[in-house]
Amino acid sequence: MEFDWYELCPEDNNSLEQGDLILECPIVIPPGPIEEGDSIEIDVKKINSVVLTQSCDLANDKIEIVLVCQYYPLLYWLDSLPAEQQGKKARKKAIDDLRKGHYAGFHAINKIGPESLLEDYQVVDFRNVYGVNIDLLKKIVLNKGERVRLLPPYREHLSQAFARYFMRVGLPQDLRIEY
Amino acid sequence: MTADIYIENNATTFDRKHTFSEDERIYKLIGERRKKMECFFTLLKKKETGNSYTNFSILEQSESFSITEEHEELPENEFDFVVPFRAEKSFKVKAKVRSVTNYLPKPIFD
Repeated sequence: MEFDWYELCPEDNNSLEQGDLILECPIVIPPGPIEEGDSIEIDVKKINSVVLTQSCDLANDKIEIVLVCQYYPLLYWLDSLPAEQQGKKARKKAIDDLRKGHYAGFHAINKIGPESLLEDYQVVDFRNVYGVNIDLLKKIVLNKGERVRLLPPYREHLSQAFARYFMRVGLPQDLRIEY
Repeated sequence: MTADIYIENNATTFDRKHTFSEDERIYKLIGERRKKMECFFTLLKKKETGNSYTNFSILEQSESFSITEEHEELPENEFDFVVPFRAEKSFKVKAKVRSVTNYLPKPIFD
């Protein structure tokens, strides 16, 4: 059975759900400790981001901070592989491992196609997550053109992959099985 | 009998400790303090029944206890726990944007 990967949200819709792709989401980097009355200079990183916060928490105003993480094109991810994995065969294996979820910190999502909002496959990077104020995020998405929303069951795939990454605990594996 | 409650805020370094004596009834608590206690008891109830409130955690609990309806009584045993709450202190500062960059992580692989 095949499912649609995405739907397009109209630009006047600022509702947020898990799996929403938000282009150029601003991440503010404070310069250091901040005290009341300070005048500070800030750096802003813009990232293409996907919402990780559960939709039910977003819909019911349960939270103030929306959890997002970055995604970027698969090609960028592939080009960043170590030199010894840049061969055609190794890159193909890396793609297959990524698709199967063997890279815990990354999750692959589909492309839409040429001349669309998602021309390439994308890789969601769970290693760095950011908190963005929900009111700010709603303002950002409003009137910024159509945006892409990940649909079930791929939204749940994303959520599960993130949960799997986040729940990892490094434990000793000292069981020896001898027959 | 007392119940020491440590409330820790994840977003700031704000910490608070409440101490309740045996005869201090929950429904007499007012304002923010009452709200927090109601939140706490709801949390405990939901936790006991295995329902939601998975976004909160009880870090330490010395002995088991039961919660009565309407939050009228305190638990019978002493317990310690940490509950994260939303930021309660905020202030505004003047900020000037020094730089805006389209960020890509580099290197992805060490």
